[in-house]
Amino acid sequence: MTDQDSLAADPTDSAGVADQYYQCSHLGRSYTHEDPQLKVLFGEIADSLVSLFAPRTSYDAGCANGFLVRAMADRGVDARGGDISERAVESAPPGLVERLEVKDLVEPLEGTYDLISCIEVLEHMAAEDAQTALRNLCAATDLVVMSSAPDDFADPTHINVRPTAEWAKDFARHGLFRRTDVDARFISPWAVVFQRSRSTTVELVGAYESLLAPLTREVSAKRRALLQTRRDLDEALAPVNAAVGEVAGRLDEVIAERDYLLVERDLLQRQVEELGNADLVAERMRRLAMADEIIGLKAEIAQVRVHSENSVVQARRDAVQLQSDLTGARGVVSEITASTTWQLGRFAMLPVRMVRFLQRSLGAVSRRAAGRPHR
Amino acid sequence: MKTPAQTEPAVPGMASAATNSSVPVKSPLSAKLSVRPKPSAPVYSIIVPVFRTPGKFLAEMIDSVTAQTDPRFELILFDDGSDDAELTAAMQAAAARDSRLVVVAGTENIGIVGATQAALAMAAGEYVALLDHDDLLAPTALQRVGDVFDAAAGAGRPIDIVYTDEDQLHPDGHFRVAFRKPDFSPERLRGQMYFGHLTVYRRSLLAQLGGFRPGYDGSQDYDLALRAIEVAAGVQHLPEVLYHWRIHPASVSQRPDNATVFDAARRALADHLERTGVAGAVEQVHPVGIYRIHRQLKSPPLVSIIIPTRGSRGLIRGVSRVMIVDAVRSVVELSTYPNYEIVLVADTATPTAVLRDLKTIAGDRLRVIPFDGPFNFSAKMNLGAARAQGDLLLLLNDDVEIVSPDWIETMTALALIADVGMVGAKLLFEDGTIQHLGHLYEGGEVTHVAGGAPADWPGPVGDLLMEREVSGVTAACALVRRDVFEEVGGLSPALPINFNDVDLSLKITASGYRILITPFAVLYHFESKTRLRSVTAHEVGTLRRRWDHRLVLDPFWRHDPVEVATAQAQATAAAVVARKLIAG
Repeated sequence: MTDQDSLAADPTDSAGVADQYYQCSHLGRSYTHEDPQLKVLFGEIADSLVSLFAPRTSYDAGCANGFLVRAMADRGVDARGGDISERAVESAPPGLVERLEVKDLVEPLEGTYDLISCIEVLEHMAAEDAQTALRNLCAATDLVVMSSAPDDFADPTHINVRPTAEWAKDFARHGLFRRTDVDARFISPWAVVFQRSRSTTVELVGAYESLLAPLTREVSAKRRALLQTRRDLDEALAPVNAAVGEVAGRLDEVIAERDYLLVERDLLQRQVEELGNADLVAERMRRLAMADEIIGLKAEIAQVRVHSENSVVQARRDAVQLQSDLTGARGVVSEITASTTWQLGRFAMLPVRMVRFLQRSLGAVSRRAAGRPHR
Repeated sequence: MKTPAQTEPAVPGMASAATNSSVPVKSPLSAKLSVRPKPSAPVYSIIVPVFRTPGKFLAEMIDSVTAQTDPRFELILFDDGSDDAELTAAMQAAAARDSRLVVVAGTENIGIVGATQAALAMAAGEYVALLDHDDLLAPTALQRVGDVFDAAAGAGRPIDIVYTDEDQLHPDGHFRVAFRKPDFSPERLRGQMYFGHLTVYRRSLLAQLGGFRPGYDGSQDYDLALRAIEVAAGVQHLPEVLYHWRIHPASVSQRPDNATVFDAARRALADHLERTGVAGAVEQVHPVGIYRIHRQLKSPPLVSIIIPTRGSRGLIRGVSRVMIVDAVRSVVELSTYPNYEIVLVADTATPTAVLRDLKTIAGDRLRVIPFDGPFNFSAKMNLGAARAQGDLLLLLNDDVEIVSPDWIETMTALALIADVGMVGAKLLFEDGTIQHLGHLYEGGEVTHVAGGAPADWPGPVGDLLMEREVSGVTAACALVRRDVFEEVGGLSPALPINFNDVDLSLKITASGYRILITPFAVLYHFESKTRLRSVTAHEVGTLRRRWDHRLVLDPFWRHDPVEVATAQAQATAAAVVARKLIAG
């Protein structure tokens, strides 16, 4: 909001506020009679009102420049209007301006009308003033077309935003009830037509239930339709999702293939290097084999040495054993030689021993003699 | 060793001494009298801090010393202020009977370190033997230890330390639980004071070290051993039970409040690391006094993980998997080591999709080396090694799954030790039992230590809880430095399927390097999911032609096979019961 738009500029009363309000650009378009779109819009509203209610007289409470008044008048209705903004009223063209008055709705209306419209007005009024205005409207007619945004809290001039139900209860207190057979949405989604009626509670329930039932059915139907739409959408998207997955999978494959090729490349590079190093590697392997052979031979030699050393040790052990056996045998021999029987026997065998001794001596001499020339 | 030491019959050494003097031997007592030496020239100083020793125990201890077949010793008894007249009298009486006994009485109780140090100060022998006041020596202890020192000197490789096996003397008079120690294993010594008794030091070495250090009470022997191996010319294990450790309720090691002892051990280890220039921290990993050295890696070198594969599928936990993909994924996702490459030696039959998956998982870390030819594990590993860029080669099978996120750090820290040639890991079967914690070469057979045991089985003496020397490790997961791998000629092409890791291990140890196993790098090995293991006579022949003499006795696993099998069976049964209890 710019300074120019600011409501704090100079408004001193509600009329001033309204004057400024109509100049503000936030209404979406210039609020003048030169705007052909506005003319069409209010023309259509007037057409609907005339065809629905065929009023002879009408009053647009909060009429601003009098768009609707003119549209109604154009359709042969004795249309009047009033607005708190003098500037708005005065800006109406000749021929129309005479049908308009500067009017604060907290003041009672003069005369009565077949139809009073009050479009987007009450939410701009303080709560108490709005109640007074509502009473005044109901005193001047049996039929009110009312529209007041139930949830537009964004507009700072909306100082009395209420749910439509609250307005409907207020009208009911004055004997006016919703025409459930009229759809006033040609004005706004929340517009309501109130008409004076002596309806009983039972009739009212019937009326509202008749309104509610088709709506409930419609909502259910629409929810079903929405679900079905969502299902259809999913079904329709399934091949798309599958295709997306497939593409992702193919991407993985491509990446894997790339990695594989990188490995292959590395392997090939290595093999190329290897061919260069082949001689060196072969030489190393040859040296290993040679060292192995040498150390193996050394081990075999060491083993032979160990075995021969063991043999020597064993031989020595055997020799010691033999010696001890011999000592033992000698002991036995000396014991026997010491015995009398042995000495007697030995004496008896003396001649035989002498003969054997001579034989051995002669044999030795002859062998020595025979061997000498060969030395 | 079922008979008490002091009633052992005469042994060959004594008999020969008797023969020389041509006096018939009738009893040990007469032998003792006949060989009483000049006290001026002891070869061995046996030092014993004494504190309120029960009279019977003291007498048995002294008798076990005086019964030594090598008489050239002095026995120094330092009474650490026992304030026990009976004990004093007993010691003096013993000294009066045998002039080789030296008895000194301290005026007040100064503690084990001070008392041992005081006894050491009086020692005059070439070698110093540490004996506890209620334990026993086997009669030939000094003689056998002397033989080892002499043999080493005779071979031109003098040594400074000899340690022997030991067992326990129980109150019922029986000897039990023989601790058959491994040959010298410095890494294991950093995890456990396994020297124990009997340990004999060259006295000049102890003098150089300044003896025992105060402030390490209860772990003073450990501290001494750690300082000694840093400077010793040589350390030799004598695989005979020559020491009997008396078990009785009052002995120090039976007391529950050992916190200060373990704290002293931790400090001794931390000092050892500092002296040897190792940046690291000490953690006690088991209440019986087992420690882990966390070595810091200043700048992690590039490790080349070499995996031969043909992209086969296998059932893992009942599900069909491409094993190499799972293996590489677990390496990449779990390993915290920052600097490694994966060298995949892939048969040309390996499906391209597998290679693509691997590339996705491992990215730039992966290098694929195509291998064309019949299955030859050795050739594939050698090719991978030739193409690897790192100086550390981590040989790995494709049917593994990582358990320890810091497995590479743990193995690398050990592989960077100069005299370490190869490092193996703890591998578990699919059912969580031990598949591999080191090879075992014994009686001509090649097997795995503790295969099939529950994963947390400590082994006969906590062996499986610490980093230690082993005869060999499986190539299913082994970290080897490139220089070592090339020096020994890698995996032998003559052994394409089986025993190539046994051969590699034996080549590495034959070249003077140590092979270590760490229980702190754990992997699953879904063994024989890839292929059935069938050994051909040719493979056995090839292995034995080279290494028959190295497959007789395992120097790092000398436990009695029957005792180990019994203990393992008990542990397995207990694990089964525990599982059932949990399952309800």
